[in-house]
Amino acid sequence: MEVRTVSYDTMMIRRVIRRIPVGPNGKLLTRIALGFFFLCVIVIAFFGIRFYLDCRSVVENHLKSQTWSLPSTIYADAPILYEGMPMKPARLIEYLQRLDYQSTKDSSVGAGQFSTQEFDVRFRKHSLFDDAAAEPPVLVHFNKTTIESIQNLSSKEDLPAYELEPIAISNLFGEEWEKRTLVKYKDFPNDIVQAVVSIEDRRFFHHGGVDIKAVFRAIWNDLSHKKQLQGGSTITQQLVKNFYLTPERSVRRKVREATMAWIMEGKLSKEQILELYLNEIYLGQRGAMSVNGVGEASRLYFRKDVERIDVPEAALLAGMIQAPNIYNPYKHPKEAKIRRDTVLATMQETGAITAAEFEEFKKAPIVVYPFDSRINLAPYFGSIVKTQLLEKYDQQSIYTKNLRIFTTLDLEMQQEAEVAIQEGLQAIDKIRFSKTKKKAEACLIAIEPQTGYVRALVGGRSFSQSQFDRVKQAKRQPGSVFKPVVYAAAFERFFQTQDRIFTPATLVDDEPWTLHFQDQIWQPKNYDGQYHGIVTLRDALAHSMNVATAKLAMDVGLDKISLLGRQLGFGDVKPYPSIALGAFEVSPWQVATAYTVFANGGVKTEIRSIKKVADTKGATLERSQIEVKKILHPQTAYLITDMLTTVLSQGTGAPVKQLGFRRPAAGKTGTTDEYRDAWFVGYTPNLLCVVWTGYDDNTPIKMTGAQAALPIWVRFMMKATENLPAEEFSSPHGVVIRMIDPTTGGLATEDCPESRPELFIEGTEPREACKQHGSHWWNIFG
Amino acid sequence: MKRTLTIFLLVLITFAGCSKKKHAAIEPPVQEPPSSVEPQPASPQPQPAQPTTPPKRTLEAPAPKKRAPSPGDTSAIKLVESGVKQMNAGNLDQAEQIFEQALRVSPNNGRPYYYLGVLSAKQKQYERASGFLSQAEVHLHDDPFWMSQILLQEGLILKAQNQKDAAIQKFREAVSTDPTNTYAQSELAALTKK
Repeated sequence: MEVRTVSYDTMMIRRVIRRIPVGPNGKLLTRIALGFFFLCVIVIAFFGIRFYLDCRSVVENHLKSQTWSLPSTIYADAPILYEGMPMKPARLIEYLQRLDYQSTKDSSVGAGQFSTQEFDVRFRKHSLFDDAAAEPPVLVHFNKTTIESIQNLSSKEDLPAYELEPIAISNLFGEEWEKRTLVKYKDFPNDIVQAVVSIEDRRFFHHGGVDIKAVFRAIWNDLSHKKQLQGGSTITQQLVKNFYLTPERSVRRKVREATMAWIMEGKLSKEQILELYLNEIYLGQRGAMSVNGVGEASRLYFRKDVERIDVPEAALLAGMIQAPNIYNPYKHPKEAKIRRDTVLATMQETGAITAAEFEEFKKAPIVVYPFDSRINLAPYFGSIVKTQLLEKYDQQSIYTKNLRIFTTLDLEMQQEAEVAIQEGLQAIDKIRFSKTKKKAEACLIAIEPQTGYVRALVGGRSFSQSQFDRVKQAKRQPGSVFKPVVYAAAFERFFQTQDRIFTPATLVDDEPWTLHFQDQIWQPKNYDGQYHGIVTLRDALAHSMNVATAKLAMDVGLDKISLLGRQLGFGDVKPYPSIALGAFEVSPWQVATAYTVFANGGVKTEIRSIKKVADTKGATLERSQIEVKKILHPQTAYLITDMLTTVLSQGTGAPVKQLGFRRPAAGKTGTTDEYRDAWFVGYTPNLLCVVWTGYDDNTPIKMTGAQAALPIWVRFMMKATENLPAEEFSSPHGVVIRMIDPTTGGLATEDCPESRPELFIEGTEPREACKQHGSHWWNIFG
Repeated sequence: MKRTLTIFLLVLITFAGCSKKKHAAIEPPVQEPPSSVEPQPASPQPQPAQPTTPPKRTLEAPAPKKRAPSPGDTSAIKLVESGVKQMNAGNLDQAEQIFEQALRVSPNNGRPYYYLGVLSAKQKQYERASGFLSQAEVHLHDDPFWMSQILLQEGLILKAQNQKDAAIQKFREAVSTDPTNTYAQSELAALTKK
């Protein structure tokens, strides 16, 4: 007996088919229909499974390698507070406010807050040091304008110094200009979770990714034109849409979204989904940069970490999710408040807050803090840092791995440098623009000579118009800025050979002169066309005399000068007579490096812009160190520094004092052939600054270094040194002072009409009295 | 007659002056008497034949400026002490950061330079060490203790670079600058013994 098993489905189909009217070919038609039906089922099942597997693979792959694209951050250098530091409380408050720290009257303060009552400052962890203990909460005591003490509040010990948290100056973005501060789920306050869930997806903890009830409610509301508080999409669906899908509105996308949400719910816990969501959502703009995640938004709008926001603030952020620009509290505070109150109402509905709390929170005003929309506070400097980073790290890491780059830049000085350059260029334009019909350029670099730290750097008039960085990339003739090298080479001879000794009192003839050199004739001329006759080397440098310097260079030896030029960092300086007057090309960066030798007692310091690179967890990837090399004897360096102070007191740099800069300082003007470049280089014991002005295409600027570059230097240095202690240059051992007669170079006597103190390297000082006016008048026969 | 006598006297005095000058030129140029710190007349010996115009003194030079204390000195010294502890514990990286901080707090204080020099020498970065010690010398040369320590370190660097004679010279200078520098004494003794 044949047993046939027929499934329930087949029986049902047969029953249906039986009802279809059957013609002569009925049986055949039935089979075709049946076949077609099965084919459809198979096709749908095939594509359905493929669709599902495709969605699952996308979600799985993404979750496996889920990393936020976090741009690296470049930080300015942090000021160091120390006992005895001249600083007014107002300056510290200003700094902390720039860090988005909040002032509170409460004496117990949390991280990122300070109390002005006792000046109790709690710093956020900033990982400048790997050791977290290096960042304790501190209490800073002021004695009017000085820091009296810094107390570690944890150990109650006094600290000799404390490095503040650095300010971020820019981010290194890839294609996405997004900024976010990642927060773990456990660190989100319950209020923000409740606020977001109640307004966006109040059944979030109960559905499986898709909320059917919410979908029907949304459809019903849509059909009945009712205003809806909640959309149909769940938090999971929104997350899926943000991660994987385009904003296109189609059934296909909706199905894909729902499927992926369902898959995601199977892979992650509710807490994990919410953590991803709260870190992902877009919450407005900070200039060109988008603000993503409640962590970053909380810092932007409320100047505090999300852990510390209150219920109305949480409701404000939750309300912004739907339309961050419409509910932007800066632009539309009214709409933002209405929306916030709506969120508070939903929180009351869900039981997250009581009715009384709702009434109280509704009264809270919208308080948001202003922010700096500039996303790059030192663009030329940032560009140098980026170039340096790209030499060691791949682009992907820089743009996405949230590296923290701690630099040497002083943000206050940087801002002063930018103002000085803008004001200086305006003054030059007033004089030159009508004649040249083009705008001049200028650049500035300021460094701390002891450490080589770049404190300020402006590469040109406008970074947005030209990214060409004139500090490092431009090669220009240094002109008279190179002259101190000639004099240094002259003084160094004493330590090498004593056949001819040069001192600042050595006499040289500044008269028209022709040099025959390698079958060529060279006739250096003074810029002003004036010649001064017999002068001391000090006067020759102070007044930047070309002929006197050129003659000295020939006496010293071009090989020696060219070698010293190379050692100082001027690059490939060839031993031609014209090098004495700086007729070769260098960058302002190289000039700054070279001058560290004079400022540092003969020791060259390499310029540094990056102090440290740390990964996202704060672990140090690399740290730079001070690189020094002894180039000159300290006595030579000191003599040059002292002669350069004469440049400012009596020479071509005299306008420095006239313009009001009266600290101990040394400097040198520089003007090249046909006035194509105008330079000023100057330094105090703790800050060195180089300013160049000119045209990129070498059009003569027709202004001297003292006219074009010096005022920029003064403007910058007056502000930049305002908070630095006024120090004198330290004299090394082996330098002696004698009173000399500058007209003869001999020791001055009471009969000399003119006398002045002069410095000598010990052993080179004159031993005989001035012969011309000296007491031994019979010496005129000697 | 009176006029002739005057001319004769003048010629006599002139020759006397020339002969004195030749004597002075024989003296070694570098060896100055201790009084040379304060400038003295070019010819120290009295001129007997100057009846009418007595020798005039050369002018006295002002004293060199002494470094004024910096507001950051106290903190810098405390930081240096803490850096030395780290260095002695072998935490060279940490020590270097602290010395750098001290240097920034008081850039004209010599001690951070000195210890950065010592630390660089420990890391066998001799060129760097010499640079820092040279800077330390600029700021600490008035203090025999520190100056002797700097010379000792410079000697140790030279010794490490097998420059025996130069090292001996530095150790000698260190001992003469501060005779209580026993380390320099023992280094000198050890090198000269060999």
